[in-house]
Amino acid sequence: MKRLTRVFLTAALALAFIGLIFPVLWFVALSLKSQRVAFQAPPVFVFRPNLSAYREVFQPGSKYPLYLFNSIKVASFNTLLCLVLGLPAAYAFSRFRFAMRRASLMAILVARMLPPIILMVPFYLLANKLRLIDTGLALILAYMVYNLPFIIWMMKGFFDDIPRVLDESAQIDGCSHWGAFLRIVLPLCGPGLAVTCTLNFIFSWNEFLWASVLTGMRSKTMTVGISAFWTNVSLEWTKIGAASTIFLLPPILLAILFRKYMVGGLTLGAVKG
Amino acid sequence: MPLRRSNSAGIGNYVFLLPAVIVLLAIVVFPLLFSIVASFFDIKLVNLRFTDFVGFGNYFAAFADRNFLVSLWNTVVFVLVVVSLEFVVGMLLALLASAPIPAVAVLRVSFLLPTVLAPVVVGLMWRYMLFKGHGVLSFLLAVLGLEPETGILGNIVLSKIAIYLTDIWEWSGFMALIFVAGMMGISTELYEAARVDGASRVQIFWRITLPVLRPTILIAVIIRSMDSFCVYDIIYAITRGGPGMSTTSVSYQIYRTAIRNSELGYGSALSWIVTVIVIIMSLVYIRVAYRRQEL
Repeated sequence: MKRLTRVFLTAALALAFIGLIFPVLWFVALSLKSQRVAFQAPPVFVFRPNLSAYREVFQPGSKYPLYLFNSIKVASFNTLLCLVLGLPAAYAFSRFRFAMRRASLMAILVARMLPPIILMVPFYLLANKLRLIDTGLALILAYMVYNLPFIIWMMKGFFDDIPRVLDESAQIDGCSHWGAFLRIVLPLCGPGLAVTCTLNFIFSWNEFLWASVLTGMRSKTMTVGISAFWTNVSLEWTKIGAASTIFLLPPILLAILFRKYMVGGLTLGAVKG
Repeated sequence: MPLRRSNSAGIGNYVFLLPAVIVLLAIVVFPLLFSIVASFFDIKLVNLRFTDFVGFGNYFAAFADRNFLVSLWNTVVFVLVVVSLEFVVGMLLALLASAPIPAVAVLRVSFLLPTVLAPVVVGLMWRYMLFKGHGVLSFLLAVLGLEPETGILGNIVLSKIAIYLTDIWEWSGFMALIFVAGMMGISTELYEAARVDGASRVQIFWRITLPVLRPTILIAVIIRSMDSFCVYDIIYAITRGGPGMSTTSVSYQIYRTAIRNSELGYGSALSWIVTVIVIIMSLVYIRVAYRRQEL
């Protein structure tokens, strides 16, 4: 390659990289500013960092530790519940042949692609009726609409990659279908299972629309909590920065850890990573 | 015949499927039916009863509702603008990430960064950069003498562009990742044969890379079209639909109608109009993505 092309490409790469990470870094910098510096116009690039925003957001008496806990709770329980229901179903779709199999798979995929807004009203009404508003349970159930189909589709794909001969020889050795599924096939899908859980967790963690409708004072998750720093009367930038920085950390770390498998996961296996 | 045995679905095997099916019926199918019924009634939150049957009245009203139509139009323009630009930027990033220079691995990881962040936080991130006075982008425009009196977010045109820009930042890396994955599937022999025949880099891109990637590109474009048609979070975080109606998306308008103004029946009707559009897109997607696959 010509030297000039090389220099040009390297410059373009550096530019792209900066473009992708600058907004995030600038936000992290915001979390270290004082309220005065955060609002200073024109913006300042050099300032003395301080942790007062973190202290205010996470001090005793603040609601934000609870919101963080709620996010962890909702995302974890949702992932767990989806696994319990979704894994056997995925195994069935992968191994058994039954009537309406293909149609059911497609229906499940369409469910996964529904616009969130369509279920907002019925969930809001039903959660009100069943007194589930402000319990956290409403969100754990609501997120299953997207994550259960997600798990079924993803894990079916991974199960398909495991040769059937393995189940069959296990069955000859006296395993039931459940035994073959739990002891042979599932353990072989370790990495696939890990990335599926990770994405399920991230989807729940990041959700905002339903969280804003289905939660109240006690059950707010972080996405709702963070956006609550901007009200009609105030806009607390440094707190937004501090709460967001903590909140963004888990997805970023998980994404880096599982970077090789993320593309396949984000496209439901339609694109092989 | 061991194959037949694993294929036969005994009653016991339905236990694998039953719990998931029951839950999906309860949390997807039942609420959808509920929503269809609700869309034919005039329901307010204060008066939660299915008594005022209005037939297709809510649907007729939708097509005379100026705010709804404006939000629908805004959303269509949004989808067309962001998806086509994300395709172009994503393709450029993907080409860059497959260039034979060191550090492309770092670039590939950075593609993931915006994709896994909560959209509502991405919105706030950009709001901080766009804000008049203390925002860096606002400052940049001011230095160039291009910032209007009202600031970026107070301007009807610039606020739209700000929303587009945020979405393009958030999702171009995702497109790039898909394209990189697709490009890795192209055999090197194909490229070598083209090079032997004397094809230039540009020709190779147009004649080999792009045609071979066609199915992958379609998948990426349809996924993004469906997602961006439902855009809500970044709009809530950056402009809350303003100034006026200029950045109100159809999801945001439905939220406003159904929840804020508690017109639940009418809101349901509006959301069905959106849903029908998205379901059509998803059927196209299924045709494209899974047509040739044996499932």
